[in-house]
Formats: sequence, structure tokens, C-alpha cells
Amino acid sequence: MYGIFMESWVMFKLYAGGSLLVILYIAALILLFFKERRKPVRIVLLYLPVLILFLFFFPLFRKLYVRVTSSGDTQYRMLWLVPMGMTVAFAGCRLSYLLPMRGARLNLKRAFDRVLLPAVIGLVIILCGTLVYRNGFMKRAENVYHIPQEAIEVCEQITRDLPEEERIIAAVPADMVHYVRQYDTDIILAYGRDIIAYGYYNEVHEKMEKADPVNMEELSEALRESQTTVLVLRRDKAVDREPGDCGWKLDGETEHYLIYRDTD
Amino acid sequence: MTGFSAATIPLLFLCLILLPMFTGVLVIRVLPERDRTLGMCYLMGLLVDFAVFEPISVYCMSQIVFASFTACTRMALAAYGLITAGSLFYLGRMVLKSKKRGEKYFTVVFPGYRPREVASIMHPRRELPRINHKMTPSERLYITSFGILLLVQIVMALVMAPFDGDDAYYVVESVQAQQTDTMYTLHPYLGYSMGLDIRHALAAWPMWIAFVARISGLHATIVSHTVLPLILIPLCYYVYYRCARQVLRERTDLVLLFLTFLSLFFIFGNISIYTPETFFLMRTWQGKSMTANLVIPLLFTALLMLAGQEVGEAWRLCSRRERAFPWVLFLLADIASGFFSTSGMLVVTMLGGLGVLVIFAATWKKKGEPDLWKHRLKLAGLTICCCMPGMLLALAGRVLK
Repeated sequence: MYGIFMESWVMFKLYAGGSLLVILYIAALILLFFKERRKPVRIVLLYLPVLILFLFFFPLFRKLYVRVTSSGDTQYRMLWLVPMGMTVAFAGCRLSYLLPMRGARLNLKRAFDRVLLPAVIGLVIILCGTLVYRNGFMKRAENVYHIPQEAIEVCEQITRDLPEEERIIAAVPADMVHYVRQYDTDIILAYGRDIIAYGYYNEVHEKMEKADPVNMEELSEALRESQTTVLVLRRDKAVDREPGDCGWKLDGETEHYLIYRDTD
Repeated sequence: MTGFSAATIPLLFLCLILLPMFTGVLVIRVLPERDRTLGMCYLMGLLVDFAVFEPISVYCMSQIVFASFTACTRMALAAYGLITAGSLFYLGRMVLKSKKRGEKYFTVVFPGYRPREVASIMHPRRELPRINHKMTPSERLYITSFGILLLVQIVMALVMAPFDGDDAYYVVESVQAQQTDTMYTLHPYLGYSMGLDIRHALAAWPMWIAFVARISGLHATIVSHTVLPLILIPLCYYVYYRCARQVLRERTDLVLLFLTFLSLFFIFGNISIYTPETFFLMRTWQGKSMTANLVIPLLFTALLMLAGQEVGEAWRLCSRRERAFPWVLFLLADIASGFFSTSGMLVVTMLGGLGVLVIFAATWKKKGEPDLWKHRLKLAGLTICCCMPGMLLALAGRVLK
């Protein structure tokens, strides 16, 4: 039971990310507990989330959840039912307007409650949180597809001269796997995102991404076995010999990638 | 390749704005008059459009082998066409009604904008108490702050491109439906044929995106990444606004302050990759994000309404439509959760069930009048009915597996 509890605890820590926003949420709950008198608000924003948190950490509930969903990995979604943002925002409003009533004209006496205190609360939220736009996964959009322009250029070159209704099998570097089929589903991939994300074994991926330098002979064999006719390599990828020596003709290039076609 | 043409914007407007509005005009008739507003019309219309699309999508993907997505598009268009025809007929009747009454056409269709009558102001569950409401300086300050923060989020959704690995699944499913006319029968990561992926297929949201892409001619990736956030971000805030109205009632200034704080929480809520805030701004277009930021707040709104009615037996003072309102939202939220995400369906159903239980427990009376017991039993039955779409979808998943 303790082990199951610890699994939930680790999941909670991953969810909360050690952020002060969680402390802010707890402070908001305490404020509501002491200051909020309206029962409907107490029921929905106080009792219900506390019950959900209790269930989240309750080992038997986790066992039940895993049994129903066949996986406990998504249990963090139960924490979505704890309305952190709403509660903090509501508590912020309560705090800002604990004393003054609506309708009074804005004057210096009330300026603190109406402007300064909300500004301080806003600042606390900013300081406790992390700006989403500074996230490492956030990049400037290069086009309306919101996928890298170079991925589009590579896709265009792969499907150049491809007859209507036909599809082509290509092996692309791991950093491009996510984007290719978001642009053109006529391209079939020799290995996909599951190989990278879940660490499954795939021969092409092993020979292409894990070997350094790439053994072209072995890679060609793996590619031909999977009927792959297009190979995309990063320019800086070290290869033991020229792909041309193994029957791969250079057919196109972009700033960082070289596109080869099988001539055998 | 983008598929952009002169007709794209009007067609997007048709799919994303007009069709839900036409549906909404019919649906909001079940709401109390004061809640029949443009925002509720759009929200409920969109949710009902999703509910209409879901069975069509499940039928086509499980029963039609070739060109299943074309069949799905045609059936959905036929269904939406019928709804629109019904709506136009209703709107036509409203013209006559407005002439007969000598009332403005707009307020006949959307009575929520009628000037308040004294009786409605005196109503204990009133929402807009002030007649000829003039904004106070603090309200102007808060609405400006919120407006700026909302605008920042919308502009950033346009100019920034967050990377999310799940796009290789969900967005590709939409693109595949649009480009290859298949529904969940091609492996999204690779492109090879596979059996129907029923685990994900029951959530028809990617197919609805493909439907919008097919009708507008725009590439499904553009619809997902660039077009949808423009609609979904304000829509989610509208749901939070409705929620805030339940909590803060007539304090318009506080409602605006609430939205300002909430926007800040969203923008600075990137504490991990799992939070609803991160999902909201980094993968707005994914069903999971909509479950966390549209469906769950909607259900909280419904629970707040319900709790408000149950505490002190206020339901006795409410009209039939007022009593039905939270249940309508609950039902639509449950259907939408299945439409957006199969795993989201479970947590949403759980929230609904637990929420009603907590309300029951907190408002428990040992010596209740006989009609109170009858009322409680009715609520329990309604809860089961509202959770039924989720359960049926889970059952369909088992049967089709």
C-alpha cells in the first residue's frame, strides 16, 4: 500500500513540478475555508477538490483506476479535477475585495484595495509560476502549419515526381519524424515516433540514429528490407562511406539535410 | 498545398461560427430566458454539433470500409443542414413573433438581452442586476487588463509554434482523414494499414477537425495549429466567465478581476508538462486540452448551479427551466468529454458523480419532507442519465474492440 501511495506521490510531484503555485493554491483553500461563507462555493471549490485529492492519494483508488484504464500513467489527469487556477483566482478576488463594497467611487482610500492589492496578487502569481512562452518547446512559428519550414522542404523533395495515388517509404532523422506526416501522409515512415518515445526496437532506427559513424552497408540492408526508397540524412551525420557507394543517389538537399534515393 | 482559396475564410466562418450558432438558436430554447445570450447560444450549439458528429463518426469508421471519411462528411453535412433548416424556420417564425409583439427581433431570439424587469431583478438567482450598467473605473481597468492578456494569448498562439510529440498522432489522424479518406485505419506514426484503433477512435475530435478542413479546403494541420486556437481560447474563457458568474454573482468587477487572475495563472502556469494550463496554451487543439479547459470548467459551472439550487432548498423557488439548466450542461459536458478524449471521459464522469454525491452529503437533512426525498431520487436518476453517454461510449469501445 505504501508503495502505491508513493507512486501517486511521485506523480503528484511531477505534476506540481515543485512550483510555488501549489503553495498558493493551498493558501487559497485555507482562505476559502475561513472566509467563504456561501455553502455552494464551499461545496464545489473546497470539499470536492479535497475529496478528489484524497482519492488521488488513496492506494485502493489507484488500484481501481489502473484496473479500469489498464494503465496508471494517466492518473495525473485526476488532478485536472482540482481547479487550481479557478480557486486561486477566486481567492484573489476575495482578498482584493474583502472589505470594500461595490459602487463606491474610486478614491485614494480605496485605490489600495482596487488597484494595488490586485496588482500585488497578480505579481505573486507571476513570481510563483513559470512563463509558458519561455518553455523550451516553444519556438517561433516559421509558417502557417506551425512545423519547421525545413521539414516542409524535405517533404516536398521526397514527394517530387510522385505519381497521384502512390505513396513512398522514407527514413528520416529522429528530429524530423514528428513533422513529416503532419504535412504529407503520402510519405510512409520507416520508423515513427513510437520508436523514439517508447524506446521500441527498429532496425532502421538502430543503424541510422544510434551508430556513429553510420555503417552505410548495414543501413542500406535494413532500409531495403523495409522497402524504403528515400533516405534523409543530416549533413553533420558521420558515415563510414559515401551513400552513393551503396546505391543511394543524392537527389536533393536543404540547409541541414541531404535527400538520397535508392537506385538499386 | 495549404489549400487556401478565396472561399476558405467564408467556409471556415460557416463551419466554426454559423453552424454552431444555427444549432444554438434551437438549443437555447431549453434555457431560462435570462441565459439565452449569444455566448450561450454559441457554446451550446458547438457542443450539440459535437454530439451530432460523434455517432456519425463512430458509425462511419466502424461500418464503412472504403471512403469512410467522405461518407462521414456527407452525413454530418446532411445532419447540420437539417438543423440549419430547422433553425431558419424557427428564426422566420420569430420575425412574425417580434412584429406581433412590437419587440426588437434580436431580443426575441436572445431574450437574455432584454432590459431587466423588476421581477427578474428581485429574483434570488439573478445574474445581471444593474439596469443601464455603466462601467466603474475599476471595471474598466480589469476589463482592459483581461483584454490585453487574452490578446497576448491569441497572438502568441498565432506566432509561436509549440512542439508536442502527441501531434504526431492526433494531428496526423486529421490529416490522414483529409488526405487519404480513411478513419483511424492507418497507423498515424508510420502510415501502414492497421485495424480500427478503437481506443482513440471513439474520441471523434480529430475527425471533426478533418471535417472542418475538408469543407474549408484548408490543410488539417493549419486548421489545428493556427485556426482553432483563435476560437478555442476565447471559448474556454467564456466557460470560465460563466463559472465566475456562478461564484461571484452580480459583482461584475470581481468577475473581470477573476478572469484577469485566471489569465495570469494560465500564462504563468507552466509548472510541468501535465497541468491544464500547459495543455491550454501549448496544445490548445488537442482533445485532452479541451477536456481539461472546456469540459471540466463547464462541469464545475453545472455543479455550482446545482449546489446553489440544493443549498437551502432554493430549487423550490426555481422555474423548471432553471432547474434543468445545470443538467443540460452536465449532459453536454459528458458527451463532449467522450468526443474530446476517451480517458477524459472517465475523469469527467467521475467528477460529475462525485460532485453530486458531495452536494447530497453537504445538504443532507435527517428529517426531510417526502417531496425532498422524491427530489433527491430524481437528482440521482438525472445524474445516472447524464453519465450515460460516457458509459455508452465505453460500452461501444468494448463491443467494437
